[in-house]
Amino acid sequence: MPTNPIALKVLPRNFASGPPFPVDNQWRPGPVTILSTTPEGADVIAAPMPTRGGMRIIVYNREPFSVEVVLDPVV
Amino acid sequence: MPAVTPERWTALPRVAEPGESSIDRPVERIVTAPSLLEGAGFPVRRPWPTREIGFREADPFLLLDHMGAVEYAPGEAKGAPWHPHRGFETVTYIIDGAFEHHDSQGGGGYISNGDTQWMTAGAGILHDEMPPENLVRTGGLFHGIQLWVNLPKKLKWTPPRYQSLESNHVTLVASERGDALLRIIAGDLGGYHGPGVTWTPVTVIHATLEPNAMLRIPWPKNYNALAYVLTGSGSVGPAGVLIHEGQGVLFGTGDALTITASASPEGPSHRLEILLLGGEPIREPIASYGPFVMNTHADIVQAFEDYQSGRMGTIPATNFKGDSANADESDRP
Repeated sequence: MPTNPIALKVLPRNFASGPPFPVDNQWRPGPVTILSTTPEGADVIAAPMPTRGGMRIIVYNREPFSVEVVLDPVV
Repeated sequence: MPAVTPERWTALPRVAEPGESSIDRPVERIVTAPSLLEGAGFPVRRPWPTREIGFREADPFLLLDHMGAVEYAPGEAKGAPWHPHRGFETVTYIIDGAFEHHDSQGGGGYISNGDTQWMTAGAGILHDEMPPENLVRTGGLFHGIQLWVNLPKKLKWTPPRYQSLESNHVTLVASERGDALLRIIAGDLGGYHGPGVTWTPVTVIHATLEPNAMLRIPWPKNYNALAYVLTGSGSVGPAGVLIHEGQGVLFGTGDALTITASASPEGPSHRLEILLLGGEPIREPIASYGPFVMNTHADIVQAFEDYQSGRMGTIPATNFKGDSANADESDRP
């Protein structure tokens, strides 16, 4: 388990974003590890993406209900 | 300021001033661009989108980032590592210094001192924009802009393409009075045409005004009109509203623009350096999230799913700077 996992509440069929994280010139996007969802097995996807304020992990919730997502912040 | 600047402007063709019956566009709004960090941490000033100049006012433009001017120390230069785009175009104009870029279609290039890269992201592409190795190693001056130009709904899915507009291809003209230089990067001005090919009618000009110069140019009635001060100071519009470095201007209706340089503009060139931008508004709904600009929320969800799954493109392994054994895994966006 990572030491500083990110927990996000994602509204139904909506996006949520984690805090900006630092990247350097050599950084490249990689897969995001979803550690858990509540409810378990919820259909969510995540990827790192630049938004206002820097690079952030973005989560999209495909479910018709809210989902709590815990992510590994290291990309 | 190495952006292409001939020694003698008086030898250039002149753009005739609009007639007395023309209507000078008044200033509607002025915004001092807020500062923020982009990419790996390089500073930009962003006059739009802001509360004062939003998508509606900037249409067909979406965003303007003024990068620098910054004097990097050795090891300090930063870029924008790999990221996606869909639904619009990025126009990167380098005034001082250089950027290298690579993309998920195997393309790449070098943009420096007065060059423009006009990238149509269209259906989607991944790319990076980086300071070249020598700029990182030795440090140096970096100054440029990135402009986002929207695409209408019918062109959001056009295949990605690049236009490399080298500095020696930029159309150079002078004002009628001869004391202002106009670099037409794209679009038309008084019968002269810039080299950039645009999907919708758009004009992009970098103007340099000598101290006290007054520039009066025709501007299409059906275009919006925006300006942004790169360096120096002066005034705009018939009422002579004062402007300085880092300020964006939204003009009202009319068919002419007036810009005047102050008697002693601050900045390295001691001239007023100003961007003049306009285009035919697209007037379609805009849904945007990070590097995607589409028409609906569903379009944005699809863009995110395509990016996350690798359908928008993958990063070429040849550009991977780490252990090549990990390239396959790292290629996944």
